[in-house]
Amino acid sequence: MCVSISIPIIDYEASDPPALRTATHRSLEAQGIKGGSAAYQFISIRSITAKAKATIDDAVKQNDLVVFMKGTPDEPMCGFSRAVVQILQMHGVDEIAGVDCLQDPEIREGIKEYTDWPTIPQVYVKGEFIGGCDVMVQMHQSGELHELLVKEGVLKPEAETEQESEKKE
Amino acid sequence: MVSAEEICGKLQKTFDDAMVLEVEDKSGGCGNSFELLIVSDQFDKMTPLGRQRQIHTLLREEMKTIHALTQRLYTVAQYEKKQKEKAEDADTDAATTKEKLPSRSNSQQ
Repeated sequence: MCVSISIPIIDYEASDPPALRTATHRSLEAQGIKGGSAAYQFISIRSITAKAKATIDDAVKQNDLVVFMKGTPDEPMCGFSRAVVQILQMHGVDEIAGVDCLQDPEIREGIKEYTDWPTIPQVYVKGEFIGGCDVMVQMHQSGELHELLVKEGVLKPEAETEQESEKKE
Repeated sequence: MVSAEEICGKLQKTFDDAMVLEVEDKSGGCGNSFELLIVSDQFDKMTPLGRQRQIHTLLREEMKTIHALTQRLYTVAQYEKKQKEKAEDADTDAATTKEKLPSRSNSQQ
């Protein structure tokens, strides 16, 4: 028997999958679908493992800037991850803390849940998610990225971009 | 598998005022890598991150099968400025190129 159910998009804290589960259960019950029915069992909710959450929490808290990426800052394994690393290096960030999401499937899926962002790379500055490759490119072009890096202390105010150095020569 | 047409159709419902709305399948028809260009004043006052989050919300179902998504999301003013800059760069290149560049070798390095 096919049952048509509607699951509203629910705003939830990315780090609180149990709240999502509870909210989804309540929504289904309100539509008359009780726990244990066949349709109900097919709802799969991604959840971040406690271990992955702890690893991601540590990385985000212990580094002023961290990039969750494919590969490493020295050897990126995807064009978007490489682009993010290159942009940061262009702005004078020499030491980039990177988490290689290809090494651990729990981290690879967990970071998407943690941030509520479906793709990698993901850049965090001072514990706050800044964006992926597209956002970094836009912020780089508008000058916002350099301002942010200086404001958050990732770069010293006197650090120049390569472009600025070239202009002076 | 999701197609560029399906994504375009879905986005058009929200961005019916868009000056430009293009969806390109960059995965050669495999439906797992797309590039979006949306020019709409609905993005006014939204940060780049906020704009992308809105698209992710609209395409929540599709994102389950999409591997990569490049998004260019501009207000009308931002897009027109970019087009102008592009045109000016092209004029500058044309004016300063005096000799033809040597042809590239076909082999990869």
